[in-house]
Amino acid sequence: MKKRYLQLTGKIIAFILCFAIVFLFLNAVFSDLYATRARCFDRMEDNSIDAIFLGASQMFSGVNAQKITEEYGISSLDFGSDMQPMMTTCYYLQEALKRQKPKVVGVEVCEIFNDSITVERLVYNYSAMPLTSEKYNSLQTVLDGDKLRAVKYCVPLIANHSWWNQINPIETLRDLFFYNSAECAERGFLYRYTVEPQEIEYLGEKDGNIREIPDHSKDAINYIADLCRQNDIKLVFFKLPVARDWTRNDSKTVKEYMSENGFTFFDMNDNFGEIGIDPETDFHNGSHLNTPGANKTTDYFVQKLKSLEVF
Amino acid sequence: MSLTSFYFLFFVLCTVLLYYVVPAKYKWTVLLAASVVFYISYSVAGIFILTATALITYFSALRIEKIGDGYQSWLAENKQDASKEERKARKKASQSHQRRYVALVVTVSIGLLFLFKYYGYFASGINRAFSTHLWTAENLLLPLGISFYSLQLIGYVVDVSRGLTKAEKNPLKVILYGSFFLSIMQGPFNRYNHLMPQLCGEERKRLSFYKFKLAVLKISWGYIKKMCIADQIGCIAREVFSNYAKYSGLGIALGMAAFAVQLYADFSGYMDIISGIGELMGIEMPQNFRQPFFSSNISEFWRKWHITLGAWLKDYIFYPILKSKVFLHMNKSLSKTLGKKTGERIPTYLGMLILWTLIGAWHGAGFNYVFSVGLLQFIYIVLGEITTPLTNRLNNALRLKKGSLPLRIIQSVRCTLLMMFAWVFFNSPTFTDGAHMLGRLFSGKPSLGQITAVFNTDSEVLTGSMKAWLPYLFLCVLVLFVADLLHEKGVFIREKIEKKPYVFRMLVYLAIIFTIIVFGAYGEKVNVNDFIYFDF
Repeated sequence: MKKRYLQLTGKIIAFILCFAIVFLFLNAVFSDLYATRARCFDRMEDNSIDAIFLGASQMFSGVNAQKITEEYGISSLDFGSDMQPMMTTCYYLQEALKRQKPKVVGVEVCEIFNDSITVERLVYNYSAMPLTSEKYNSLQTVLDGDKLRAVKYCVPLIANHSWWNQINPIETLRDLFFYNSAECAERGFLYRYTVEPQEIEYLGEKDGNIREIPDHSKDAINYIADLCRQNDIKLVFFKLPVARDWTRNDSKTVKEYMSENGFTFFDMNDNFGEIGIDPETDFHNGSHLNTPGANKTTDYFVQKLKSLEVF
Repeated sequence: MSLTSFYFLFFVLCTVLLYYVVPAKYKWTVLLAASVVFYISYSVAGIFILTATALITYFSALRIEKIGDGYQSWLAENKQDASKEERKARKKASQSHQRRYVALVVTVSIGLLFLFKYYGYFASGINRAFSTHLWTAENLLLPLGISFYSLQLIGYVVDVSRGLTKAEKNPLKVILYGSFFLSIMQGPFNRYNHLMPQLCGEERKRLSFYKFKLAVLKISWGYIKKMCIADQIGCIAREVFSNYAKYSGLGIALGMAAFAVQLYADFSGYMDIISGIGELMGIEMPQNFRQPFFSSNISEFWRKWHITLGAWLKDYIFYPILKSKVFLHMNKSLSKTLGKKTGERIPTYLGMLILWTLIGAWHGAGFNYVFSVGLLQFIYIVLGEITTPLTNRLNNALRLKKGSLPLRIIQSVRCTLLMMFAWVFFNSPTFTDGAHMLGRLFSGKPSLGQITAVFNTDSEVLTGSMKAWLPYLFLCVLVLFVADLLHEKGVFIREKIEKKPYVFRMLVYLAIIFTIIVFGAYGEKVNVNDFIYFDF
């Protein structure tokens, strides 16, 4: 009888162990789907970053952190994710501050007016991030307190399983087992050399519709500011040059809000000429600069930060 | 309460637990309560319609039995005194009286079915044709399972009139028969004699761990078929069928093949789920599929596909039609004029035509249904019979022996292709769409580009690359094929698995769990489909 119980216990333990191993492996596979930017952060040495830039894809397509590090000697990192709302940017800063003590934090504000949370956003923003209480809390905030969905998006295997048909097994296995810090030399920046000529909406005749900054973006900005103040970090908000979805009225609204609340903000769309952006050659698409465009912008960005005595 | 939701699993768990807790005598009340809860989770109003129909059936069955008993007792009392003519007249009167009650149940059931399912279609047609403004019943929702319980209740009352079943004394049990939650959504069609002794029998039921594991394996296999095969492959089918004008040739063929896989996995997956749940409670549900794609002809296909519908329609419509006075008379007179063989064939074909038209119409209001799974099937079967001598000669010329593997493969592929052709109309919104889609099948020069086009769209339904989808489609077909092949050879896969060592079983369980987690169509990104037959 005793032997039978021992056997049964052994079987149950073996099953649970095997289940856990397969689950963790598959969870890693599915978190790897959108892990590129965050994985770079994971591989940075602790307390090795002086400047962290946060935001959505426009940020890591427009601020070349590798260039800043290598040419200007300021150890920098782009730490963002596609379509990242400001609320999630708070969470990224929380995670960053657990391992790094940056002197400067720069926040790109292209998503400041965004008011919608889609499944894609949740997957892009949270899949690659470690399972922490901050992740759960952030998900809960983003999902208006929906605890069940928050739990679901904490587990990439469950949240991302629908993307099974986008997994490249060879690349995934290589990334999981053979990825090394040397490959993180790009420091979160996304190199892209394709060219798509653009017409710049910001420089056009129309000022655009007047949009209001949603309350959750305002809360996020205040939270980021508090966090930086507590950690003695210089904070700057900025807007990178884009060809569409950013109007003079948007810029005006943000400038007014930032100014009223005493935050440093500058919009590089006001300086197309100074930066030297060529709409014919410097864009990857309407929303993103390509690498030559980003390099020009980065040089201007560093000078601007220096002039503001942030660097 | 979708069958693929956690709510349903929780509901099943509670029902099974309660079922074993409650004394044997009252187990049926648990099933009745569960059936009512399940039904109400879909439609509150529908339960009243179901109950009303079941109660009319209940009283009619009692009356029919009473009339029959009355005649029998009269016969017993007057056996010696009554003349043959008198007995005949009494019997006729009794049968005619019984038929009135059968007619009542048929009228109520079919009338409601017509009102909810077909009236709107006809009224819209009349409005279009004659510019009238008839009410088109657009605000009427089809009550859950009406196509199933209506026929089941008719079958019950007919069985009582035929003396095959005793009339039920408890009205709640008739309601249970009509609303039983495992068959209310998509069947199978249960016969009263088969189902009710299992639901209301008073023997004590025990569930061994072995049987429990077998049942869970069956349920899991059903969920894999539904969530990992039908719903996933269904994305390809949906993309092609919804945008057929964009595709041609092999692209359309891919959509047709994908729909065949989807339909089979969806319907048979559902049957596996409910049959497994039935096994958990010691209830054996009738088999509804028996490897249909291994059929040698369309007749055989329909004896293996949705078996219980075909059997019901044969027993309660086809054979009674053939035995009716009109048909017997027709048979007799045609045999005299055209010879025995032809004289017998014509009424049989006529009966088959009626049967297949009804099968088509049962699936839905629309000529595409009547044609695809009705008239076209009739044409296939009749042509198959007429051309049998020709195909036999061809097989002999090609030295294909009857029952040989090459011939069976050819027959099975032929059968599958014919069904895929028919399902184009079945899955198209209208007959015209189906015809246009088939036209696209034969347009353009066959090329790989026609297939890649299906995956190179900005479709919200179909995301992911062809490199992932095509191997997955082939894998699904292979899995279904191997499973059916083993069943065809009489291998009991579940029993085989359970007899293997623990490590093997553990790997199977893990494979099942993770297959559902990874490949299952669930979550917010997926537009989860309900079961296809749910609409019928």
